[in-house]
Amino acid sequence: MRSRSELLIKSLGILYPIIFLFGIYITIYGHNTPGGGFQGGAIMSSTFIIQYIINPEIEISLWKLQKIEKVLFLCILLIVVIFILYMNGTTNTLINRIYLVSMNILIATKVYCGLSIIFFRFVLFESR
Amino acid sequence: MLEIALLLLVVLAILAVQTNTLRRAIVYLCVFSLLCSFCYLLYQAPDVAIAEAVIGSTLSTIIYLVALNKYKVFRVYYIMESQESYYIQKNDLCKTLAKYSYEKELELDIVNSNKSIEDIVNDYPYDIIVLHSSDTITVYGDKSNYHFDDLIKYIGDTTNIEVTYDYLIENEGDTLL
Repeated sequence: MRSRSELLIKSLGILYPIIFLFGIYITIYGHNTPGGGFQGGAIMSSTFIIQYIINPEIEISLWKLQKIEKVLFLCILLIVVIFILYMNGTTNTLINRIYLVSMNILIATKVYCGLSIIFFRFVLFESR
Repeated sequence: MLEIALLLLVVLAILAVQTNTLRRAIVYLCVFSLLCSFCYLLYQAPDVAIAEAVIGSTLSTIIYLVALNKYKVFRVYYIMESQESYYIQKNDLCKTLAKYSYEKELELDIVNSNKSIEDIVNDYPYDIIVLHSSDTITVYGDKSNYHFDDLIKYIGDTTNIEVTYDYLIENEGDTLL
């Protein structure tokens, strides 16, 4: 990454917000179009890698990301348990939609954190 | 259309296995997973296609490339037991190492040290360790390091320095976490 080309940096800088928006779109509309939490999160985490290519001296706190990931995992479990206990078998489309979208968003954020942790752990720390 | 894509998949898989350069194999794998995602699309599974395209051709390719880059530094620890003489031999050996790493597209990094082998194995990242005592030169390396056997063969073929070699067994498991 020492000899980065100017062309690559400029074009990635323009593409980067578009890819992020695409990831958010896939996450939010995952319940009635192809896509969903995992795919959206993976696309969003590829923007993290682009950020690294644009600026390799990026400051990042892996510890915070790990904490966020753990909290989100707890949230996912809690929401599923609450939904099954109180609203199982409901035919209200609005409640179902809210449930699906919130689950998608939570899963997307968790995948985003997890894949960026994997990538940065790999790039910055693991040698040999 | 589907048949062509499936045939191309087989061709790309064979190319990825058969090629000599690791970097080229990674690029073939990237194209392979892109075609795979196209096949999923033709099988009417667009969500799997998205996942395959993102993970197969973006994330795993980049991680493979980073791993390849990590492997490019070739770190040699050079231990001189007696400090007085043998600089000519050391020069020859270093030149040979530099030639070898140039041929393999590696970046040579020679560290002169006076620590013991155990310290280096435990605390420092090394690829090979050269122990230069008064009458012999011993090269230590890992079984998992696939450059090591090549290097021994290269030294034997190109120079007339007497070199013995030995394997170090590293403990299993990652202690970084």
